[in-house]
Amino acid sequence: MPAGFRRVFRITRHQRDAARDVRDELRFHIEMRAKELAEAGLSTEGALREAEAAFGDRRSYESECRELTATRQRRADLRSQLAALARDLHYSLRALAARPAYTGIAVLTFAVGIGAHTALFAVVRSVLIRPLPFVEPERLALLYNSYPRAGVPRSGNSIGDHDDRREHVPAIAEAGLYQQISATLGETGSTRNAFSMPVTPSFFSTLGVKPALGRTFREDEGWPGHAPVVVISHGLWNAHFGRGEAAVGKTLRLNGTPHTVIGVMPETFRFPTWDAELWLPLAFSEAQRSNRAQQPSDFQMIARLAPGVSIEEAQSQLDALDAALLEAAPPEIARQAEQAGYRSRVVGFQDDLLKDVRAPLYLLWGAVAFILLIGCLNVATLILVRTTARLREVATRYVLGAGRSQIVRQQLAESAILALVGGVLGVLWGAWAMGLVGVFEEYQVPRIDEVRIDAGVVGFVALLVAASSLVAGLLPALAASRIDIGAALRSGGSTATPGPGITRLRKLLVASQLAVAFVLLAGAGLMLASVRNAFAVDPGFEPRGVVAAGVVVTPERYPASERRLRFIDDFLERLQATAGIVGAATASQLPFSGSETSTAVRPVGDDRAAGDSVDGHLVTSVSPGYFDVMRIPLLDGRGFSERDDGESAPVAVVDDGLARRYWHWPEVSPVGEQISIGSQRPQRATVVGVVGGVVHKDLTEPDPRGAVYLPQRQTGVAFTRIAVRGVAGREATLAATREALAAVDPDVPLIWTHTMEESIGFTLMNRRIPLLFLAAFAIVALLLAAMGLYGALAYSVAQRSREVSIRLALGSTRGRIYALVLGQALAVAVPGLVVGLGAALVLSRWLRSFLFRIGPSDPGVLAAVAAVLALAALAASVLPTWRALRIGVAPALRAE
Amino acid sequence: MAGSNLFTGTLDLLILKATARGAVHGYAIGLWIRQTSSGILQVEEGALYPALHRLEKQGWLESDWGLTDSGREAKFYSLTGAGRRQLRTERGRWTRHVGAVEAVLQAKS
Repeated sequence: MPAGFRRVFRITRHQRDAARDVRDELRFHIEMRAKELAEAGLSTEGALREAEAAFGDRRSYESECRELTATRQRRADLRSQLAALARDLHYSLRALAARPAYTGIAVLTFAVGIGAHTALFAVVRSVLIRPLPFVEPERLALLYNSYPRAGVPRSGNSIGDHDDRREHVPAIAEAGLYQQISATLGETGSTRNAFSMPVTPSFFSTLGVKPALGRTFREDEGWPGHAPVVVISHGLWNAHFGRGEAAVGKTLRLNGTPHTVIGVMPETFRFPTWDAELWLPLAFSEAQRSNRAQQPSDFQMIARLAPGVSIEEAQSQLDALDAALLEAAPPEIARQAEQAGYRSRVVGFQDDLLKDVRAPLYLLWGAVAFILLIGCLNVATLILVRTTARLREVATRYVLGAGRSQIVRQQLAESAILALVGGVLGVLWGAWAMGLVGVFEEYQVPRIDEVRIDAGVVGFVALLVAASSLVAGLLPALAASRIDIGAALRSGGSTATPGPGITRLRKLLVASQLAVAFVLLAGAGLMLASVRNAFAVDPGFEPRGVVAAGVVVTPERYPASERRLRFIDDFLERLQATAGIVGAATASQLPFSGSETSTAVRPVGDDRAAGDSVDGHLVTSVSPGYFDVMRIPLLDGRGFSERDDGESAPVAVVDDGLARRYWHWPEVSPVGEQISIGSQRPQRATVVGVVGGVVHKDLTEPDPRGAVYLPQRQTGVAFTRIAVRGVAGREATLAATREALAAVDPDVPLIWTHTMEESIGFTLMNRRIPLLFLAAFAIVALLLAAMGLYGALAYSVAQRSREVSIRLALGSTRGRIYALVLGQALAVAVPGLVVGLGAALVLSRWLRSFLFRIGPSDPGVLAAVAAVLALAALAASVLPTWRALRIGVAPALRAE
Repeated sequence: MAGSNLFTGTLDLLILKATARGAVHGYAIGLWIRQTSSGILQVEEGALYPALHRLEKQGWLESDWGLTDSGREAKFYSLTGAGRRQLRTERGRWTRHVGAVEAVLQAKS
């Protein structure tokens, strides 16, 4: 055992060596016996021999005794160490209890740091680290089509894509298509909206899940002509049929049609991106499968790769399939695909799920680590200040024979208690904060509902506690153990002047806190500016006051198109007649609603851009009042009217983006021109107006595509979105909407209700959530740093109160005293801020992907941060000085 | 080993008794047992020492180095509080044990 280790853990060297002890003891016995025998008349040699013989096997007795003694001594050592530890803890507890303010601040500091860390670690572990709950999840992959040069980086798959890949790509062991939609569940008058997934039969085998009861779909149910069947979730089984009741064979009414339940999925089964309650078979006829031109391509595709196959191999096989298919395709199609940069893509399922949350979570984790660091530094400062206040006592203990290790150990005990209590509070706080994590739910962070505090998290916290107490306790303890004993004892009064080492360390700790706070504040500031910049982007319409929702008016409910249009008319008319409603309109898609469909559009007679427009533009079917309700400005021509119906000539309105693309807008107006919409069975329409462009997806990603609007009465209507502009606030507007809908048809559900502003907010979630947390952390860091500075300065002022009093007595002004303390504060703060600035400049580069229209080293933000911290430093130095001066001269002089 | 064998645990009892009068070293304990039992109870002398160390480990004895009357350094054992209690317990058990054996021997068969 190394001597240093022995010293720290107080393993004392025994006064006598155990082995020598035993040897001496036994020798004494034999000698005494020999003496006795010699006195009885034996010769010296004979007596000794006889004594040895009477004693027995001396060597074995000796070793037995040595063993016993060693064991006893080890136990005694342990006991004395435990006693010493108990003494340390007891002493520390008493010392901490005697200073509740100091203890409270230190514990809270630890609790904040450790708690935030706990919550975030739990999230990171569940969301990022834990594998998906499927068989060999690393083999699961998503496939999609991409047309990057047509502005569509990711588009859905068709049944043709699915069949080709499943058959011709050896890397794909199994694959399925699925959709994430909602269905109307229940009997007339009591319907509700249910998350549902139409899937091909192989979807379940691809994931490798089996039903808990009954069966999933047979392969032949992927073809039409079967009675309607449904597989339900464990949750729906319990909710709808009652736990334990037979469900298989019963019927469920879905979208107005009875479906037979054929299976129940296990309780643990959840699809990560869609918490579906029911699964329906996706059925395609032979004609649908072979007629590629007419295939809808809005299906997601999931595949299980063959064992040992990498994503790269799968991608290269897909590329080969693409090449072969394009070879065989008509030249026109091949040319369009080429121009759009078409490629089939494959990505890892878990990677893809996490691509949007990985960076923000790691960013937050980094921020939390900084908070804990600042907390440790802060507690270290507190302990250091307290240690210096007890310097004389420490020196006295030295003189009385306490080893340096003893003093270090005692301070470690103190920081360990603080960290432990802080850790326990932190876990409690973290568990509570986990509830706050619920805000993620709305933003659909995958697997966020699986987050919990488990043994792994608690173990991690234990590590944090240990590390924190070491960092916070060791620094000041080592500094204190190096004190100049003589000087400390010679100096008068109860306190002693700390040596230069301690003073330096204290300054270093305070400066470090300021530096860390600088980094956090700079990060929060940059993100705040980014979000502000994003919200400053004009979306092209007026979102304030608009509530958006989905109206499920399906062909199942109203088979006749005419009937559906009349339903919408009745609904809008009734709604607009309601007090407080300014206007209402329906549209096949709304901005920021998260869904979009792109359609090929090109001017008639203009072939140049034909290939360019594959899947190119947003085509939205709207009711006549749409532009008014949304306040999208009309730039030329006219909007739609009631007369643009099936009887009149097809018309279209384009936005300025499309106009600029094809007609040199604004010099040349497209009004009166003909456009062709759709690539397979193109529909012609005459452009009657030009409106302003609208940001569709994300304020930070202005849509370059251009948009076409068509009148609902000419395109027909199915599931539609509704935008309602009201003056009475969200709830009143929503209530009015529900009421109007129920009055027209109580069986049509209203889903996905959000205000337009909320929808815009959602799309900025990957900036706003990290900002929210980062800002909170930065404020905590600022408070902690200011507290640390205040504590250190207050101590130093108090210590110099005698000097201050003498100066005052000698005629120095209060201004001079303030200047003195301020100078001292600046001497600490300025280096801290400079280092913080440097660190922020280096670290903020990692923030680049979160920033919008602001550089990572924006001088305005950095200057503001420096100013805030300088102000905090100023306040932290003025306050203790003011207090010291208020006490006045005489008491301070008398105090020592 | 000469003389009668000691029952297991008996040596411990004798040692505890030997130390009850005050600090005493190992040789003196052996001598005392030999003399007071008139040489009937004899142990191999070395066997005394593991027993002493074991009793010390149990916390019934404590030891310290000191000087004998003749001025030699020796290890002295004395009874601790726990050792005193142990002596009482063991002694009671011994008496009951002997009484029981005696009762069996005197029974008329």
